[in-house]
Amino acid sequence: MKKIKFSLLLLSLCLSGFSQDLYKVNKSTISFFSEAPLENIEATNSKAQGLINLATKKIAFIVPIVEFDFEKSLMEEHFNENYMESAKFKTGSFNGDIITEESFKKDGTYEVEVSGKLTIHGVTKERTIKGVLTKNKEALSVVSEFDISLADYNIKTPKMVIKNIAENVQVKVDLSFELKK
Amino acid sequence: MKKFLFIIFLFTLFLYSSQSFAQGDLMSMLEEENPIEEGKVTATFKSMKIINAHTIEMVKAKHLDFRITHRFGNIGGASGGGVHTLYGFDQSEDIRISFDYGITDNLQIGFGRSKKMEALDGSLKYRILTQTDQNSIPVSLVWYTDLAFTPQADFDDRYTNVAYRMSYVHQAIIARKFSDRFSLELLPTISHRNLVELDADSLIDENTFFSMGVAGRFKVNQRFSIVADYFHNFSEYRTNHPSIDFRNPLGIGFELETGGHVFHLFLTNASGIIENNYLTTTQDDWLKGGMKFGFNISRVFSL
Repeated sequence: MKKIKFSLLLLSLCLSGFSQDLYKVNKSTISFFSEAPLENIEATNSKAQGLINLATKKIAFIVPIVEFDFEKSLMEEHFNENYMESAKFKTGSFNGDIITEESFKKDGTYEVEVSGKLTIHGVTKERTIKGVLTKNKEALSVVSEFDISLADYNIKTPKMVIKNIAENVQVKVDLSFELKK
Repeated sequence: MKKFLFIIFLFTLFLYSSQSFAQGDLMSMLEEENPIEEGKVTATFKSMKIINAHTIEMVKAKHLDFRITHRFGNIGGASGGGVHTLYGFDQSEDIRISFDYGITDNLQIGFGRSKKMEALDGSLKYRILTQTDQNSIPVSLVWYTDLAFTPQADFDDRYTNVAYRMSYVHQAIIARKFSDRFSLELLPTISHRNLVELDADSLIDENTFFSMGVAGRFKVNQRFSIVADYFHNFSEYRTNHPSIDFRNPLGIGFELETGGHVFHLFLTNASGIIENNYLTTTQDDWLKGGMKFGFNISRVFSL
């Protein structure tokens, strides 16, 4: 009987352990930057949502495109209407796995690599992206920097403004997570 | 006992699998928790004016729109243009310099100065409704009011009262973006002038009359659109006048977008730039060469 009680205890521990592996975004900053001769283009988005499951090492993010804030309103309008067509393609997303060999049991800072499907402007590409994951008790944070090629995602820049827009855009991701209840 | 353990084992397996199933597809979980909300329709028009007509577009909060609007003279020889004025380029029917500022995204104030009547005008634009992409709000609705004051020198004692120098326009702008390419708006408008005078035929103009405007934009490609607007005046004085040939203002042109600017290049028979001038006084006839070349250039600054 004691054995049974013990296994039940183990079982419940194991289950609670599971639900504790799922983290959700509670604060996000996704920004991009493109250096250009005339004017630099940059925008910030704080409305990204995401989940990480440290047990299955799966991750998923959604970024609502219209929530990118630009300093210049006309630039924002061009971004939404002409480049991202955000009325048609409302979100950007990433759906993939952490491929780094690590169990993330202990608190600490880990160099991680994720691999999966990055969808922008309705185009999905397989990408492997590096980042840094920090675990601190019930909180996680993830920072990453990567480049996106406009051509890969079928984002057309007319020749007239090609000087104004770089062909690669640098994206910065800074996310904080809390345990999902 | 063994059976019991086996059941627990099965039970654990079951819980484990259901748990991992629930957590397996994070993307569907995310999408379920963050459904895509109904969005506001943006960029119904590209600028706060089409040609003569205002649009439902407004200057964004804390942005200043500096605008130079120009109308050259009539192109056709029969209307005072022709080769000796380089088809109107030597003349300027009206020039307006204006500043419009967004207090919030839904409230804009403006100030302008026109050559015609030396009009100083102050305007207020307020957004009441914004069209949404799931059509729960099918149209956008904006209110526009403009008050004009003419500081002209009083040569013939007409401005005996300072109120005589003032005129008003009130307008509801109802717009719908039908597709990525095509937007249309209606502009029911009331014009009021405090001062109207007896003309040579001993007829007196109306202080207040109603006009209906219609304006549209067709986007040819990402940079280039065709635009047009027209106002129909419901004014007995204008329709039935025995000697003055009043006309309804019509503008046709195109719109060019570059990174930071929106240009409009167009032809119109309208005789002024602000509503208080062109609705009330337009007499030039498109069919007699009474159209003028004009442009609007705007630059938006973020303050």
